[in-house]
Amino acid sequence: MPAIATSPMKTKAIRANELVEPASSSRKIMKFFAELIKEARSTSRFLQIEKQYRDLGAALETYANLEDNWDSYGADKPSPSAIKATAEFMEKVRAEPFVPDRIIPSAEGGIAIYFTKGPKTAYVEYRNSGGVILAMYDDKNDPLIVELAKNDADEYRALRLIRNYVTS
Amino acid sequence: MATPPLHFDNAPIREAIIAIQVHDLPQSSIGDLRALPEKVKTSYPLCTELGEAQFVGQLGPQGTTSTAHHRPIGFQFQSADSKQIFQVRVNGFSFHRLAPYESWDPFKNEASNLWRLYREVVGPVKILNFTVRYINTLIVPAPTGASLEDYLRVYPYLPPEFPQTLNGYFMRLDLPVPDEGSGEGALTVTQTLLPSEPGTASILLDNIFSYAALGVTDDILWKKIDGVQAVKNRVFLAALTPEMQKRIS
Repeated sequence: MPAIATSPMKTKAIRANELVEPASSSRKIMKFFAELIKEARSTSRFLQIEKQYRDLGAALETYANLEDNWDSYGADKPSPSAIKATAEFMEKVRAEPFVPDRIIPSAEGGIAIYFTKGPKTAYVEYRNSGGVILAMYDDKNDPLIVELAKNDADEYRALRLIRNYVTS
Repeated sequence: MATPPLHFDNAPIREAIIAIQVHDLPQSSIGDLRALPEKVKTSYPLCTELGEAQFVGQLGPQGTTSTAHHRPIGFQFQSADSKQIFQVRVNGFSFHRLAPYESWDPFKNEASNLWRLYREVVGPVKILNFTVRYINTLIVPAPTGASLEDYLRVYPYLPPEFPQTLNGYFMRLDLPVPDEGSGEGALTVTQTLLPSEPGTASILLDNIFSYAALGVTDDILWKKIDGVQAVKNRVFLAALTPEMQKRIS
């Protein structure tokens, strides 16, 4: 049975049901480590990515339940195939590791996955029609539009293009 | 004596971090840190400024006032593949290696080299403490009847009177670590379930080793950090059953 120590710095242990008011120095040490742990937790890139993907996954689930005319301008709801294609693409992005900034339903019918860095924006859009579009634009140059096929080779190519564009 | 390296072909390490906290440097150090992007641009071409924001709202008889302050606190650098990251801040330094993780020596050596660059640009610092952290995800089959104790030797114990199915859990243990060359420290073990594919469970195993290192020199600091290798290997191995060790081998 594990024992509970009075202070993280001391190895002397007491039984779980003994309540001991820690000495002032112990309180300082415990506060010191509490701050340290808080600092350490906030710096994990992996856990930040996990949290972002959890939020993006929840957003995608919400979009799967949209109705037609969800934008009040007559947009079609995202089709199950567009939702599935988006989820599959997100898995590829996640493995990189790379993180989209947001995903949103498209007024054209489908789902778009956005990546932004400063003035640069890139998105991949999976349309209900089965079409896949990559668009990259900023405030200085004309938008670059690339038509893709829904296959691994094109999707990895899109990822490379996006990474080069938003990080250059 | 050198610690024998611990290697698993399917290592579950998702991120390894060495973080060093220093006494707050003057704000003018931000100017010194601006010299770093040029020095590391070949290996770490992506640079982002880190900032700290403070919002203050006050309610008083004369009405309400609010102020907002923002100050830069450092920079984050990323390798082109985003798998290596380091931060330099007015209050410290951290180096992060995301999967795939190779082994301790290249990980620690890269952290040490980057720390040296940080020290070159900011000058003398007063070191306060350091942490070595390993974040693992153990992916295991979860058919009906599978249990955590098949894979882990540290897990929440449920008495037989309780329902025996875990929908989720979050367990955190704070433990003292005796001095084995790094000084007395603390181990924080966090376990929880992450979202997983049907039929599997993804268990997060996050081990944070924290040590005070007040005012030590760089040489002593890195000797202390090196001393954590044996401890973290032993703790990691001890947390896994032979079956789990086999699965990641």
